Amino acid sequence: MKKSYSNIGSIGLVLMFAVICGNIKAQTKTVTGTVTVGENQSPLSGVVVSQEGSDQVTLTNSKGIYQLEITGENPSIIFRHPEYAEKKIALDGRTIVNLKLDRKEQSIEEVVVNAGYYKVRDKERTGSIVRVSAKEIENQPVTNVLSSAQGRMSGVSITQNSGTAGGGFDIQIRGKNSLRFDGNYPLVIVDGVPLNAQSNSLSPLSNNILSKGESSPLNSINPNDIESMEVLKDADATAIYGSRGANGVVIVTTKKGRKGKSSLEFNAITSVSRTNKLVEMADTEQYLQLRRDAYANDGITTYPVTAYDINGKWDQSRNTDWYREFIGKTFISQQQQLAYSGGSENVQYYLGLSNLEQGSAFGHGLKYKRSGFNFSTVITSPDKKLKISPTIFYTREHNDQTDADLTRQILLAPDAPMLYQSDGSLNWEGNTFTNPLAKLENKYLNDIRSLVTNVNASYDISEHWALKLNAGYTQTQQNEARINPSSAFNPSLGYTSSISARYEGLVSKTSWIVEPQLHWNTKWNNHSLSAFLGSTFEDRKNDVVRLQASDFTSNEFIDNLSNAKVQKIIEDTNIDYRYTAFFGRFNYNYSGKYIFNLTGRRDGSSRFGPDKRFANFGAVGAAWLFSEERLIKQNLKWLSFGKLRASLGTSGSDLIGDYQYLNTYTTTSQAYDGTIGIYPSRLFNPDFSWEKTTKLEYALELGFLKDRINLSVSWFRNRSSNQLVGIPLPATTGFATIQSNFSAKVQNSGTEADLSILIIRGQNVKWKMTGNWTLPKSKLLEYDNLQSSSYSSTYEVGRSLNIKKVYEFKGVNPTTGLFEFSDLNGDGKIDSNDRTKVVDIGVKYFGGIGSQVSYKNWSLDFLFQFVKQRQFNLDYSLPLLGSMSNVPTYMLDYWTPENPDASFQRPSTGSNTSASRAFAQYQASDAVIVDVSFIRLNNIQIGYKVPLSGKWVNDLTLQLHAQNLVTLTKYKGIDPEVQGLFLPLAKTFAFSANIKF
Amino acid sequence: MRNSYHSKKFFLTSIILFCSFYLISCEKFLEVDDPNNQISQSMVFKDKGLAYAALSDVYSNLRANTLLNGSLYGVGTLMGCYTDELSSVSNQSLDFKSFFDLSVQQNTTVVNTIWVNAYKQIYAVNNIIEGVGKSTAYLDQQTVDQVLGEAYFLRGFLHFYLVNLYGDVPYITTTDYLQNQSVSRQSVDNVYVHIEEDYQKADQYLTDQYPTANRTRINRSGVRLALARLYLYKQEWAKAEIMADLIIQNPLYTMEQDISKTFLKDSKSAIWQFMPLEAGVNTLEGQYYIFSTLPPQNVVLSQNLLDSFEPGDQRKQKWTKALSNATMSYSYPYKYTQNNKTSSSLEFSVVLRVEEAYLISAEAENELGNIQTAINRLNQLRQRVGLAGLGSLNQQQVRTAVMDERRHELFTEFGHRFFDLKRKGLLNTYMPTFKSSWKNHMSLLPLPENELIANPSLKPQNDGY
Repeated sequence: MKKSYSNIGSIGLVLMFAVICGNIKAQTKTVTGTVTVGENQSPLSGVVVSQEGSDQVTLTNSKGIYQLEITGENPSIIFRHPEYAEKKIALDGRTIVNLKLDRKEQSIEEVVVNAGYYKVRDKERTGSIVRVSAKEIENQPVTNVLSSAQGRMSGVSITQNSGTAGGGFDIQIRGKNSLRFDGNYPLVIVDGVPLNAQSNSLSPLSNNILSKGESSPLNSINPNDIESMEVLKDADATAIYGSRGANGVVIVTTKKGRKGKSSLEFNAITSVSRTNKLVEMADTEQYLQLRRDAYANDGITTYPVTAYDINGKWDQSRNTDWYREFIGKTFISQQQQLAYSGGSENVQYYLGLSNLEQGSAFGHGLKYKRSGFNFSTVITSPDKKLKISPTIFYTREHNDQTDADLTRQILLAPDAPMLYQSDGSLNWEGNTFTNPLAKLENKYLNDIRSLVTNVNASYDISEHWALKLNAGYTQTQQNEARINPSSAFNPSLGYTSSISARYEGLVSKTSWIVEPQLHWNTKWNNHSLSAFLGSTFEDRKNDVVRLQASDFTSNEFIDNLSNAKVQKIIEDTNIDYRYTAFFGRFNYNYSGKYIFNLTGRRDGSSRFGPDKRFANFGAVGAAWLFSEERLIKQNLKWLSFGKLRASLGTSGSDLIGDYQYLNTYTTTSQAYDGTIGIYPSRLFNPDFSWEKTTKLEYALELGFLKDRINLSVSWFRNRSSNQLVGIPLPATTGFATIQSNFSAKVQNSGTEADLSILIIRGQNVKWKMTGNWTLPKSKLLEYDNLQSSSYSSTYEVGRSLNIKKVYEFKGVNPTTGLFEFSDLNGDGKIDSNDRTKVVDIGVKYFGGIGSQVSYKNWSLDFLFQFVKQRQFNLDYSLPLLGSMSNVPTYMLDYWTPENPDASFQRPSTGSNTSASRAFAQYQASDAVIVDVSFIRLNNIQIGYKVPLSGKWVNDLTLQLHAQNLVTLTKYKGIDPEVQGLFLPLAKTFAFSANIKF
Repeated sequence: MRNSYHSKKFFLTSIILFCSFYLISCEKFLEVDDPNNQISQSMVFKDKGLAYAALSDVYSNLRANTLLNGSLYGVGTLMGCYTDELSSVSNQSLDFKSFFDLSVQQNTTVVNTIWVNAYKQIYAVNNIIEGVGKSTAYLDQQTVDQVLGEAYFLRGFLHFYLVNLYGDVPYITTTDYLQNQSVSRQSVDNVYVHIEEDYQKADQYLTDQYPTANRTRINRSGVRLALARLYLYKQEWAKAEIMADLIIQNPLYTMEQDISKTFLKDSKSAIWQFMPLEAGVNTLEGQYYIFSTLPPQNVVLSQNLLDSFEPGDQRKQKWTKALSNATMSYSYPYKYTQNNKTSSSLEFSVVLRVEEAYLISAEAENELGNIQTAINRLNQLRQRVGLAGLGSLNQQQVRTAVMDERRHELFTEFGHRFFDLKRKGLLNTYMPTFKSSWKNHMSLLPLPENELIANPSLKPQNDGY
């Protein structure tokens, strides 16, 4: 036994020796030459010149000249440059190789799309996948990649929930597939590792400041580290993700190192932002008139003692624009990024460091900070059979915000007192004024550390077989806190630190995933077959601990939990989620003309009861590249590309929360009479099971004039008949909902179009325009006993799912001065039985138009986003007209005896029951659902590439950006995208510099 | 040939083995531990401690979240504002202000929360009744009786408030959501029948023994006071009188002669009171009613109520307090005197107290024709607050005297004033003289709009909304 070991050892030694000797003996030669471009043969610097299969690399100098050491018999030399087409030249004994490079032509054929478990040439894909690349999303003054992807992808609707940094986004891929609000999150995969799609934030802590209490998990990824983002939409593309693909899949691929000389890139952006203002609020004179009219209408002649705005307590000559005061602060944001990348034939690396700091429109030093690093390498064995690429992402976010969104304060009376006294302290105006700035003492802090690591490995067993492994581990540590010190109250209340409280949420999420796969492919003649089998094991653990500390010795100690007299653990929850799957795909391609695809997946999820855990999903897809047919090739020369594709299949969702199948009691932290209470967790339904969506799609993709014009049109239809829904219940059941499969048949369909035109393709001038357009439609196809169900006043068979049942608004009665509504059931009175008019709400269509122009060293890019939609207007969120709350100027057209044809009813202070009632009905009528369509110039940027000698700096690009520069809308509210009274998006001007060494 | 057959067989077997192993391991893989904060329902009622924990949560919620809470969103404040006890001085559009303004709508938030939170606790109580019913073998008889008695009482008590606020309401006695989701309203009389049944069950299960040191859980006397109140509302005077007298005779309970002790946590007059959230915390009433700066922000005692006290009534001197400066003066209820934490809790929120039994007894005796007994009962109440005894009065005069006495004894306590005016049929004659915008339909609150939407069988909405 011992002997054989030593034998192996000696063989190894001999082998090593042979390798070394081989290297020594190898012949070295020098090759030189000049690389040029264009008609006038101008030299090109920065071209990476390397020998194929070797680590030898060099660069051309400013005169385009290179010199490379080569070894071996008849080697090939590769010339690479990011903007020029790669060339490979076999030496054939030459020692001087001069070369002219051509500009890259971005055509449909070159694009390779990452579909998750496999990559596919864009031309040959059978599924519906849209892609944005680094070029489109990098270097923008945004914190989240979703901001820069807005308006760029058909079928993908991205909405920012509020202008507060670190907040959430709504991504809807092909409409709302689920009736559940949280059932619409798409699956987000970063380098093979699924991210938690749901918000990390604990809503009891964050819902005052973040709209819907959400923060986007993609916040943790620096947009500039992203190489591409693909969105999988149809059954063919999503079925491989089985149960989790129903809402689409977002695949984020981060930047990796490239072969060639290492380069150091530094990027800095500084931006100045200010919120958009789309609404004009009444001034003091107008407001006071409104209030006087309100009291007069209510027959009140002596103004109440607390009506400070009008009873003389407040200085009525004051007139403050609270919009600018509270949410109109100009703020500065900065981000810097450093990337070092490069590599040899066998090892490539990428190291990125980034830092970002974003101010707040509320001012007062509030900010969002993010810093992080990412490191990835790709290691290939010398025989190229084994490839391993580990990636590490680590990000730390720190959000320092006030506890409550100050946007609501724009409703403050315009004659309200000044915020500060002359000595700089907060003004309470003799206890008549609840100073909104005191709320700034209430803090919302969030500290998130996220780690995403993964390893992709593949090993080519033979020409036909390959083993792959995707493994990943993620960890998110979040420390969220809400701080409510006594100093947030009027000091005359005499509150001491005994009422100060700090609430903390400690969230720890860890997950791992292992996905072994076996790939196979073969080719003969014109046939090409490929297939793979794989399986997934995934485990997620969420630990949540919520703490409450109150009654501090001093507010100075509010950051120290141990100083609190009352210390409580309000929540301590451990959640475990496990997921496993077995999947496969089979692909057949006949001479690049006929492509057929079969996908299947068997999924198991711990979110269902023991008997309901597994389900099968699958899809078929096919494509016909008719432009490859000889007949068309010969006769329709202008048609450079033509493809018809179709797919049909199922995918599902298990986004229903964990442990919903258990019949349990949950513990509280509240004691009564010495016993900690427990409460029934939920209504028990052990029978709910997977929801499945059947997806159908047809698409036509065309390229004209050598792909200068590309058009793709697709039609899709998603149907589901067993959606998992928390079916709303009346309170008499004890709960608001029960988790159940919804028996209704729901359809989401739509049409999407993408167009790109290369208008000018000159040597110096290039102009490309792109556009996309999506028309989504939803419909409730069937629902037995709708009328007797709890959905009876939400839905109607045959109508869209985005409807509201409302009162029919008739206008203002010229004699009573009150809003009037139609008596739809004709019983002579207006009550909830008349709330039967059905109106559509939501998005009708949306899209974007982009343009990229370059002239020599200059470039100009812009992107318009448009959304046609009906939503609630601002009136929906306002208190009664006439109460102590300011109104937008358009509401000043209210009824008075002199103005009987007004559009708003007579103001009332609230003591007139019929006025309050009419106003409440108005807010539940069709009058508040209005056209909130908008066209927004999302992004415009001018870039200049500074011509440099290339000695030290290879590349210097300066850019000027503007975000949300122009918004065209009829909507008179805070923001057509962020509705209601939440912080609107900001108009941002930025300057960026990008230097490559 | 043979060889290849064998290897094929081997290959197939190993594949089958691999697959079955794989599938079994997948099944195994998905078995996750139960969450650490939950416990199976079937376990709960096999354990005495857990059964009490389930009940304890109901009490916590009654104190903090249901209509019995002492904050600005409980019936005490809301119905006090609605009638003539409290005035809203808020300049915000808050729910108690819409009660004060009589502009309550079917979508007023608190109209919904009162309903939802009451039925939520009714569900919890039903779950306890069903759970204990199934697990009697695991629990000792005393625990079964105690838990069931308290649960039946709480179910009746919550329905009692619902029926008096909303009129016809569903009486929920099961946890079956299929039944409860399409339930319809029952007439007030029917609801009263159910409440009486539940109270009587509670009366049988419970004793006068409190399970813990403080009077923070319901006992038989509490049930009997609730029964007395129920009979009073149903005008079954004799029964009301019997029940009230049982409590008056009970030596456990005496009226505190110094009325400033009535609401202290060791008060002898308390029958059932809420234990505060934690040690050192006092009542929500004290926290929300008492103000220390002028002008006040929320609610103040109405001038009407303040003016109605007879001169020398200690209840005005001790249970109300004024805060004044050069330009203004406002009063607040001062039954609870602590608006902040103290080193240990001093006051508990009293839900049921013995004085109500005297008032019920007086009213019932008067209606039964025992006018002098009634006057004697009233005088027992009056004497301790420094008022002279009432002389001879006729039956109608005693009725008025009882109403006045109730008004001054029970003000801002869980909406007594509103319910009294309502059951006496006085709302629609008295209220318009006090608030001109009063309409007859306002004797009932609207059902929450969301509930009518979620369960169309609850329609129609109460008149006028």
